[in-house]
Amino acid sequence: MNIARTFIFAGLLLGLIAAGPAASEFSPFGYAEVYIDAGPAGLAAYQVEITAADPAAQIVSIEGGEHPAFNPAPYYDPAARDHNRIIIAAFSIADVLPHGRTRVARIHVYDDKQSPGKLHYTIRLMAAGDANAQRIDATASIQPGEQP
Amino acid sequence: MSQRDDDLPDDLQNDLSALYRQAVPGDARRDQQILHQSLMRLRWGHRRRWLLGAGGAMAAAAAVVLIVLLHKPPMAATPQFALFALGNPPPQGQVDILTAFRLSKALKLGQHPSPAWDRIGDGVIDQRDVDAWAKLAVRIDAGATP
Repeated sequence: MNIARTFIFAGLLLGLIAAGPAASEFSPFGYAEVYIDAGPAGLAAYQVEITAADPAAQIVSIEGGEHPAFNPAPYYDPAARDHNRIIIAAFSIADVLPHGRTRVARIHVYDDKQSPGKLHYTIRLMAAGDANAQRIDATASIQPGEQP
Repeated sequence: MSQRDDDLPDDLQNDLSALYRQAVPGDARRDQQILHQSLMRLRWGHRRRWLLGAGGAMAAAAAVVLIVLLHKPPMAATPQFALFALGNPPPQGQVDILTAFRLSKALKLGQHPSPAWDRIGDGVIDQRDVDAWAKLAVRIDAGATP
């Protein structure tokens, strides 16, 4: 009898331990990575509008991209911070520009209701340009993540 | 038979010379003229030498410049420079990051944008205006659809 009780207790304890991390999985902090695919043309400038699906989400900070040409943080409106919608833009006069798909920025998001890493984001490409400041065809995409 | 004066004793020569010497009336004005002309010729000689030297140096310098110009590679007229014309900024509702990018390129290429690009209105068009155009482009109420 004691042995059975011990097994039941141990099983409950293990169950609680296993369930523990699941309960603490929620994090109000997350991020989303912004990509531009300019194809064979070198990307020299971009401007995108990003909206988090949850109106309560707050974009708290923005950092630059992976390519040296877009390492510095992009331009954005500080008034848009702490809201769920923002426009970011950057250009580079560097000689070496990224081709193809490249991560141009990362936005950090806070949402105490839904995990920002699981939020749905929409992105709209407003402008993309090549080294001659001519408009080019490009596509923008955004990929959420958690706790970078 | 002729006898040369050199064969006469010196004293005799002097006496004979004094006997037949005639006083030639002097012309001071003519002497001055001759002296003046001599000086002028002397000076002209100096000047001509100086002019010849300076002219030669200038000709050599011109030749060097000509050679350098003929052998100098064409200016680095990059396609960017050739293709890039800044023009005027677009109306406010059409400003985007390419507006700021164009201005930045123009400044980098040494162009002188029109005063219409002076976004901050300080009479100087520089990086601060580039930033101002970029900030206008990303303003949350500037053309973005909510």
